[in-house]
Order: sequence, then C-alpha cells, then structure tokens
Amino acid sequence: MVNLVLIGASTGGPKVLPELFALLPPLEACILVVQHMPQYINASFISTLGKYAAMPVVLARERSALETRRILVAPSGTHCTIDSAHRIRLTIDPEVNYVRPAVDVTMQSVRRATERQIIAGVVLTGMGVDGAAGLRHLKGLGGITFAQDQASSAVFGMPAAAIKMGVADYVLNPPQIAHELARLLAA
Amino acid sequence: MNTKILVVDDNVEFRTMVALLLSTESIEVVPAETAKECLQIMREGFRGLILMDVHMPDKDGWDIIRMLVEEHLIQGNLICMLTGDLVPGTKGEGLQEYVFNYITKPFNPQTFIQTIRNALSYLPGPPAA
Repeated sequence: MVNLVLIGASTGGPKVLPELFALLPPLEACILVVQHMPQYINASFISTLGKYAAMPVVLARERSALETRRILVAPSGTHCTIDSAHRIRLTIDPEVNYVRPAVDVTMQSVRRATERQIIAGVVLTGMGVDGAAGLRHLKGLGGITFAQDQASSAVFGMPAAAIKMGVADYVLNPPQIAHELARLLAA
Repeated sequence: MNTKILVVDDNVEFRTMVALLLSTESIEVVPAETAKECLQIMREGFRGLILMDVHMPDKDGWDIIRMLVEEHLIQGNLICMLTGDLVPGTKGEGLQEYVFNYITKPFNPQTFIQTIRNALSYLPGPPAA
C-alpha cells in the first residue's frame, strides 16, 4: 500500500511546482503530477522539477508502479489513471475539460487501498475547472484536499472551481501546501 | 546568453519598456504589433518564448494562439500571456496546454524577470543532430 499525493496544475504550474517541491522533504508517498503542457516540454519539465525535488522525478509510463518517495509526471497527450493493481494506465480517451491528461480523470481513477492509506489531492493555478470534480472524488474517499490560494495563483480558475464546489479542505499558498504535506507524510 | 523573446503587443511604449527591462538580462526583444506580424515572424522560423497580449487591433491573443496551432507553428514555443485582463475568460478554454503562464499588467519588474527566467528554463533545446 502506497500513500498517494495527486497534484493538478495548468497555466502557471511550471512556476509554482518548483517552488513547492523545493520545500518538500522526501515523503512516504508517491506523488503523481498532472500538468497541462505540450508534449515537447515533457523532458525539460522533468529535468527542471528534478533540480528542485528531494525525490526522483520521472515521466509516468504504461504500467509504472506507484512507488513511495517518487514523483511521477503524467505525459502529455494521454489520460493517466491508476488501476486496481496500483499501476499507471495511459489511455487516449477523449479530452475532458478540453485537456488530456485531465486532472479529473486521474483523480477519479483513485480507489482507496486500505483504511490506513493517506490520500491527498492538490489543485494549483490554472485556467478552466479541471481538478474540482477530482478533488470531490478524493474527498469522498476520505482524502485531504488542497486548493492554491488566489494571491499566489497566476490564474485562479481551477482552484476557484474546487473552492466553489466546496471540496477544498485547505486554501493555501504553495509553501503552506508543502508544509502541510510534509506534516502529513514526511518520511 | 543570447536569447530572443517575441513580444506581441500593439502598445509601442509597453514593448519598449519590456525590451529595456529584458535587456538587463541580455535578452533581446523581437517586436510584433499585430497578429499578422506575429504570424509572419513565426513563419520565418522564430521559436522560443512568446509574450502575448490579448487585446490587439486585428486579432486577439487567443485567436493568434489558435492560428499558431492550426498552422503547426506552435511546436517548440512557450507562450505567456501578458495582459491587462485580470482573468483569462472563456476564450482561453482549450488552450491550457499552450499557455504556460499568465502575467497581468502592471507587473513588478523583479517578479516579471523571475517569471521569464522560469519560462526560459523549460524551453526545449534544439533537436538532436
């Protein structure tokens, strides 16, 4: 059983994610990042996050295992889900919320493994509403949910949608989110 | 560093101010005043970071991005909106993948430079020979 942190971001995410990861110690969790971005920056995205994170950052592949103290990044152009064997599945189903991968699709694929498993969902800056339905699903599983606050968001669309839906347990800036995740899950 | 950034904005004073600010980072500004000029520069091969205003005389910034996608000119570029609009509105829907960051005018010069540096760090390198 691996604890899970699911992070969704869009416009502005590549500026915020390094700030967040720079403050995160290694976590007893697998972190899965869904960032809306063109395929041609997948490699530089992994490389840049890797310079800041205290855990290895790798591009998720079909059947990648969810391993603790590891950051997986959803590749562009495919939805990224988690199957019942706790492995990554990549699909080219239609776009959801105009995007693929969609944060909602990833978060809504999560199934609780055990009562003790810790699940957290984070929706960061971005245009649109992607992530709100995903956070609602995670909250329904007993997960802890975070939305980035307006002051620190380049675009408040996605966090605002989650807040409006009433599914964000915490509304915080990235350093505060890092602090809370560390408090919950630090190795 | 010999970096060029395409600044698409119909306000010449604003483009000049951005150029002056970026010159302190040894970054050269390639100016485009209209959608037509932007597309011409892209067709001539510009690849890199684009700072895109929203409201311009011929097309708006969202339309220009859609045209870049349709003409397959988007590959290899990162786009940051640079606009007085505090929120993107619905015209940005479907373009999330391509809009890397969103900067609102007026901006803090130091924060602006940090945002530009951050964006440049993600630019894909030249294709392998």
